[in-house]
Amino acid sequence: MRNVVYPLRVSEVISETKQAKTIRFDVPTELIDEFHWRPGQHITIELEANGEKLRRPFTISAAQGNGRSLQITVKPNPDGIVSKYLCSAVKAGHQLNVMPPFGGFTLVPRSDHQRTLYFFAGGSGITPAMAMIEAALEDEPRSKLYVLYANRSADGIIFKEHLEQLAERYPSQLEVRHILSKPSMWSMFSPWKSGRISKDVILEYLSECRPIAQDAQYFICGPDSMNNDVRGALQNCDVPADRIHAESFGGDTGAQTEVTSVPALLKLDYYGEAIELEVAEGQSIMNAVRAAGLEPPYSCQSGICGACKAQIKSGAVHMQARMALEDAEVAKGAILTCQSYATTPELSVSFR
Amino acid sequence: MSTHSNGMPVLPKEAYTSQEWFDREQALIFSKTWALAGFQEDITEPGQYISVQAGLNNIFIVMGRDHRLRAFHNICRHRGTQLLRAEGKTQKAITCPYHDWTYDLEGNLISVPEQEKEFPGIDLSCNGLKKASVDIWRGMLWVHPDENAPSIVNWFGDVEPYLAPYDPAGLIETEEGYSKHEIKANWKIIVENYIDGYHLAHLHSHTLNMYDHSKIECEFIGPHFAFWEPLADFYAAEVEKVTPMPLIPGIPKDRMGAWVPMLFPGIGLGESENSWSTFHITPVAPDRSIVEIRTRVANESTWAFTKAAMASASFWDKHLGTKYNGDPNVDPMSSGDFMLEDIYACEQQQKSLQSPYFEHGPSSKHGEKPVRDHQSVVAKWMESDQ
Ligand code: FES
Ligand code: FES
Ligand SMILES: [Fe+2]
Repeated sequence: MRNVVYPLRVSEVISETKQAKTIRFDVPTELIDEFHWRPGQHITIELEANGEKLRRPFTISAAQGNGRSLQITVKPNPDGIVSKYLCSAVKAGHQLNVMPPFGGFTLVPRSDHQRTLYFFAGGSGITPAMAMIEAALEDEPRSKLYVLYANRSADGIIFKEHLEQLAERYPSQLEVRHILSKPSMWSMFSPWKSGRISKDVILEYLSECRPIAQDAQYFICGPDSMNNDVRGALQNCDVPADRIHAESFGGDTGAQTEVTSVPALLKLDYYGEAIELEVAEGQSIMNAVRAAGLEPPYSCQSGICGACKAQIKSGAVHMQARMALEDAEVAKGAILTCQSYATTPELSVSFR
Repeated sequence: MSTHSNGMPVLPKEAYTSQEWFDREQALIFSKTWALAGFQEDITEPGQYISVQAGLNNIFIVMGRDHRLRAFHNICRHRGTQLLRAEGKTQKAITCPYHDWTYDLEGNLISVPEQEKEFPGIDLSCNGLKKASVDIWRGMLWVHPDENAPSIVNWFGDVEPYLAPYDPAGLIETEEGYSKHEIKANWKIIVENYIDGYHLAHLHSHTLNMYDHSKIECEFIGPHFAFWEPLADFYAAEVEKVTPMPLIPGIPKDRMGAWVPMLFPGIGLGESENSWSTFHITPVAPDRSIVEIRTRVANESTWAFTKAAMASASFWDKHLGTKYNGDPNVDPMSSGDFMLEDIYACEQQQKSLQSPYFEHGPSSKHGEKPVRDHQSVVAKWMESDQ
């Protein structure tokens, strides 16, 4: 169940912008439960290229329910084989190998709550936000949603019309503002602001978009540089860290620190099975586990998606990147095995 | 004490007179429910704060630069000194007046004078302010002493459909609509008067006759009392022309009237076709309470108000009056002010509770059912002993 690939039929391919495409899937009745998703989750697409299996996670860009299908929205990444293939070659009727939804960056609507939900989206980072927005509008009707959406120019705005329609349909619940870093001079579209999201912009934004419901949550999904700017600006405005939820979309993951890892004896609790194996110096836990012939779940292999999450029970690791984990999870021992290198000669890790 | 067939009294006489009852109510009711802390517009700027009493707890609310409100128990973690007084504006930190311990707006203790010398090894992170809950509902600020209080939507959600169909946050407060009364009566007597449908046509025969008391719809929804009555026919017929103040938009023609709920504990609302007010009862002693009234009206120009008042003056001269024709300065029953009529009735009842000859009389089947129901709600909360 946990690491299974299903062939799904593509039902529709929609051009969102010049570059971005939405790919919709038919989920057969017997797989409905397996493919149940929460807003913010991803699916993994597996391709074979030159005899090699490539797996990449893509965020589901719609909320479940109300007749909506499972869909992802993809922008071709210059050095992403999978995303380029999805945007150029995939047509309705094709089959794709898909792994069931996963991921922890989710929003679970609470119908008997009122919250203020802030979304700071950049580029294709709108995809998880879109699913969360749809879900919250429908299932958390007392909450107010403020969306600040950053793009280079107006013609790159994914879901522009869809967002406009939602704002019209839910006028008291949803407010969308755009910020463009390089607005075209000939565009008719006038954004709320031009330029980058700076501290001052956030300060101004928060004073104009005030929380009525005092349980405010802040979701940031954009490229790393934007996420860092927004997070810093929010904290500068007294927003407590535990109310900020961020996920990285596009852009590089920042400078990797030199790993000082040690060879280690790894005691695994692999879904209830006790296994011992060796981890070499400079080898990630994930790679050591796979080298031993096991098939742990994984997807992005860059610390973003959280598919490879496990619990560390003893010993210690160094994580190169951990965007997919909240601080509270790390405190409780969660690790991303694709990013973890042993720093003690013995450690035990549990996959569940 | 005789008990009538209709179940009166639910609560004993002591519930209205004894200090012990009063103290238990403070602990079991007023310290365990959402308390009205003011209007949304009372705090609009980062750093601004107010402090309020919620049962046994003094709580302050402060706005951060994210414009989100935080609520904390107003007690210094050192020796318990009250940190902030009444209302005001602070910068980025809150400093205790006693020994200058300083907290940030998240309640974290950030500085202790002479820390190294006087508190070697102190862990500042264990001495943050105790959190409370705060939220905004219907344009009002609410606090709850418990950091993990059930959500305000949970608390008021069921009664919401029984309230006026407009958003009070869109109205503006008027100075003339403010008053504060110290009433020599137990808070429950004031509540009972507020929800007693039987007295409306009698005590207020000449002051509240613009509503049709024969068509009241009311019931308890959980601990909260919901109440609606339509405009009287003579008024409804030409309400647009003769309303003394501009009408509040959003009320369908066939629901024109007054929503007068009593939220638990002791927070009355008066939501009418042309004004919206809070009637906030704060118990101060077994036989004394403070009632604070704040009013909002439609967000219209002064001219619109003047025009409405002028256009309707002669109409209301004809229809309103006083119960008795005595001297309004001496006799509240001759004042033409329903509030004074009510206060008079409440204080007289409280006084009579002292008489050895006092005995509960029969309670009316319909009009006074809410009175009995409210006593049952109070009785239920008083049983819970956490
Ligand atoms: S595989 Fe995506 S975080 Fe490890
Ligand atoms: S009581 Fe507040 S600093 Fe001592
Ligand atoms: Fe009255």
